[in-house]
Amino acid sequence: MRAYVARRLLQMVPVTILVTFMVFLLLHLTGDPIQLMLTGGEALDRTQIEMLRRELGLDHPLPTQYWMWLTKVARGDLGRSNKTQRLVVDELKVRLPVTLEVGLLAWLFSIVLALPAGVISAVRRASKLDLFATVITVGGVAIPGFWLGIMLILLFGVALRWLPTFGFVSMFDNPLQGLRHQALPAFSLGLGAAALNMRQTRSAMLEVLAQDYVRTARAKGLSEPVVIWVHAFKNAALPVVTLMGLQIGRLLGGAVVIERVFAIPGMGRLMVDSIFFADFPVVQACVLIVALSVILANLATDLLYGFLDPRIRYT
Amino acid sequence: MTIRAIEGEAEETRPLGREIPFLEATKKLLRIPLASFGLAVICIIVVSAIFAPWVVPHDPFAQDVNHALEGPSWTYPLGTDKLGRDTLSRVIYGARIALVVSIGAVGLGILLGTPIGLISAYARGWTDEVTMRIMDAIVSFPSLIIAVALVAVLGTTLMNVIIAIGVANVPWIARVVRSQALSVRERDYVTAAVAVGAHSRRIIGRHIWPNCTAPVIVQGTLGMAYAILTEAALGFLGISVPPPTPTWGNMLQFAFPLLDRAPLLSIVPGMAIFLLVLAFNFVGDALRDVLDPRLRGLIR
Repeated sequence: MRAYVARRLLQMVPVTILVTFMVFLLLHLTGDPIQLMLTGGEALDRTQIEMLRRELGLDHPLPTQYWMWLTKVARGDLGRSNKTQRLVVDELKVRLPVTLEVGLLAWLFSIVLALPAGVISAVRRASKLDLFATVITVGGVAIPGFWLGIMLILLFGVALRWLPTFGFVSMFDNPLQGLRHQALPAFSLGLGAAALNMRQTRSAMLEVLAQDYVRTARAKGLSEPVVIWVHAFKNAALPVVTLMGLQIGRLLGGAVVIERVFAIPGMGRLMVDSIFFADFPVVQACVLIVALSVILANLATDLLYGFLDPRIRYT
Repeated sequence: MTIRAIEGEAEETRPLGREIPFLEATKKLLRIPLASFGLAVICIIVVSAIFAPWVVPHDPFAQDVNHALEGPSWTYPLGTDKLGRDTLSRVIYGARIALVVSIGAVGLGILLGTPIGLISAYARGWTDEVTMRIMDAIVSFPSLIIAVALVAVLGTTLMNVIIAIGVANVPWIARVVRSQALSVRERDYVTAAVAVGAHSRRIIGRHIWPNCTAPVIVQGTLGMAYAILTEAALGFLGISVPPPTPTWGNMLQFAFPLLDRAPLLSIVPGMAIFLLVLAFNFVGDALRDVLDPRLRGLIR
């Protein structure tokens, strides 16, 4: 197991370098980062531009610049916002936990809804329940998350007036209000992931239920719930676990739009607002955080998968 | 046996993608009810989009401030927006952008992803490892954020939106092509071509590539669905094709603040997105079953 962990950690290194290099290149895509920084700001004359170029180290070759940027990031220096002149790190310290809380709730929702639904759907195949679950699955994948959010606001906020439709309250500060504020965003964000999880669980369960050892378990006289949950589900859970870990990326992407719909002051909203203010250091920092989160999530998923399935450790 | 005969024999074998001729595949597809529904929806939307200037009841850019924020009526079947523009006409014109962007993005994905996948599968070894690591890195990254970041840096034009969404498509196509190419590479007719001394380019172009078309078609169709969703999200955030061009995304952006006064404005474009994406999903899933059920685990 230790060798497997070590190998996975080592493999993470080139991927991290690659991804961080791509994020670093983002601001150099149009050729001149100085121009990007000056968009929407005051015009500078040539000497000032040259001074700025030297100050930011932009006269060095690209790999050197990348190294300088990387070492700064490792020290926690993500630069300053063009707009507020505050340290980007300070801005993120406030915004990131908000996004993480909503994202976590969405992720939990997608698991709690999808797994039992997928199992029941497989066990009672071709029943009304299965049909209902399939409709949710198919619809959940096709529906735009932000439009679902808007429709939920229309239903629960405007028509029924049951739930608040904007703003954020942390569940650590006030559990009830927090849940009321985060229920709709988490649902809109998580439904797409739930649909995929449900589909995967159902097909994995169907495969496992056809196996010989399930038939043996039934023949031994074990009760049906034990057969389904202890024997079948444990084995079906493997591909689903992998999928769940990979949902993190999708959820982070969805958060960008959901935060706009529900006026949640999270990192996604920060990123989009920064685009409109041409505040590219902030955009770059947000993309970097997302990239690192995805890498970590993939690593965690791989390790968990290796823990659950001993056969994987030897590849 | 002469060398010519061996080469000729290799060419006689029907490649996998052509084992089911196009017409037979379509017939099989139409037998699946959901796929027929999907195809019908796609056809209706595509035709309305192409013939939009003749189909729309009003000019989508024409403002009629006296009739702003009205509900459905005989003149304006789906109501009007804040500036008195006809919603139905704008939705039909919005389909144009949705289709152009998604076709462009998927096209870009196929154009770049196919050679990457083919070369990676053919070369194997170090090239394959490195290429696939790069592709994996992009795949796990949320495609919306890639698109947002690229449009932010490149600017909000139609071409940039297509590029931004297309870039996220490339690794999906590349992985699917590579997987198929790896298995085709082991076939006898490829071994025969290599033995005969055929050029790598010929082997890839004439023997391997034609057999990779099936998964590309399926992935492309599903990719259209993703592209439409991504473009709508970009439009809602205000970073897709700028107004006054109507896109489904920016229609939702403008309708959102008026949700309590004019809910229909928010419902209609969303339904359009939902229907078209659903249609592409149905067709894509059915294509996967028709062309090769073994592709199930491979494609998203």
